[in-house]
Amino acid sequence: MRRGGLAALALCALACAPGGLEVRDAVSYPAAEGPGVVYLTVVDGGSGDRLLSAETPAAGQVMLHESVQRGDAVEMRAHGHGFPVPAGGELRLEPGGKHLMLMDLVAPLAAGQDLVLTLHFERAGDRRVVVPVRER
Amino acid sequence: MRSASLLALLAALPSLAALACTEPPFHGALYEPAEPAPEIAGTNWNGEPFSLHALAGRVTVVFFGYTSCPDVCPRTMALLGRVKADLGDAGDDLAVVLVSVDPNRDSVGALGRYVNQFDPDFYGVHASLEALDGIASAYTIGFQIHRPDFTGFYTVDHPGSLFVIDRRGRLRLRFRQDHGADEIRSDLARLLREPAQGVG
Repeated sequence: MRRGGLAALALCALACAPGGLEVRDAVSYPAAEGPGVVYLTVVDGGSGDRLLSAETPAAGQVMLHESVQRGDAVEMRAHGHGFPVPAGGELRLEPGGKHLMLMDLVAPLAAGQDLVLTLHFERAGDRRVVVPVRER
Repeated sequence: MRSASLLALLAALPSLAALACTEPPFHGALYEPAEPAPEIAGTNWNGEPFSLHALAGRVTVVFFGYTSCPDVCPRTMALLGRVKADLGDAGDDLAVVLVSVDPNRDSVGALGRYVNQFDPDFYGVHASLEALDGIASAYTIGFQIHRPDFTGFYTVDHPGSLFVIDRRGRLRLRFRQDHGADEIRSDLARLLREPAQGVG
């Protein structure tokens, strides 16, 4: 009983610790002169967080954006206050929805290249992610 | 009794045969009746004048987007590139036209660099804002250029639809963003099988 309780505690220390975030499935696509795009998934193992901003040496600025379909119109909304990461859930940046927009590309993005992206989270701090640029 | 049933069956045969020959409905929304597609005129990315009407004889897909759109526009263009490639030889008769709804940022040169990422045979059309207003009205679509933020960046609301014009220059189908590549390819393949000139 006690051992089980300890094991659960140890597990929780790993998974439930504040900042117990995992970044998965990061991908970007070729872009001639921009803007570029990054999609990824943030899995939260704790009590939630917020992706505040991001940066990469490959672009002058990274903006948090969301494509929203209203009727037939496609709008792009800026999320200056970041994207919430739900407690124990996932923040998904995916085609046709939330995404990171890479403004002022330093050079065209080509398939086969890797981008180094730093994600700034409110609680978990900074996470560095290597983002492969893949053919669409 | 039995002969009456047989007669009824024989009488129904032509309509059954007609049913069997009827193709399933298109996946895209059908324009009925199909009317001549309104003209879209401007400058193609290679600097040459562009006229939609000059593409008569081919099946044409028109998308209204812009090059500073990182998500929906490149995804749509890449999808059309895949569809065209998958159509094989029939795809040679498919024209894909991106009409920029952001003429201030999308110079002819920028459109060229953008379109060539997907397929150098695609058209990237620059038209003036005045011309775009007329095109938007003729196609009953809207686009809105937002005010720049403090960095000077701005976004543009644009239609998500793809407009399909048949070989006879008639506006035939409209695809939504949630139509998949298979559905789009199937409908386009069917339109590509139609003759350029026909009765009716």
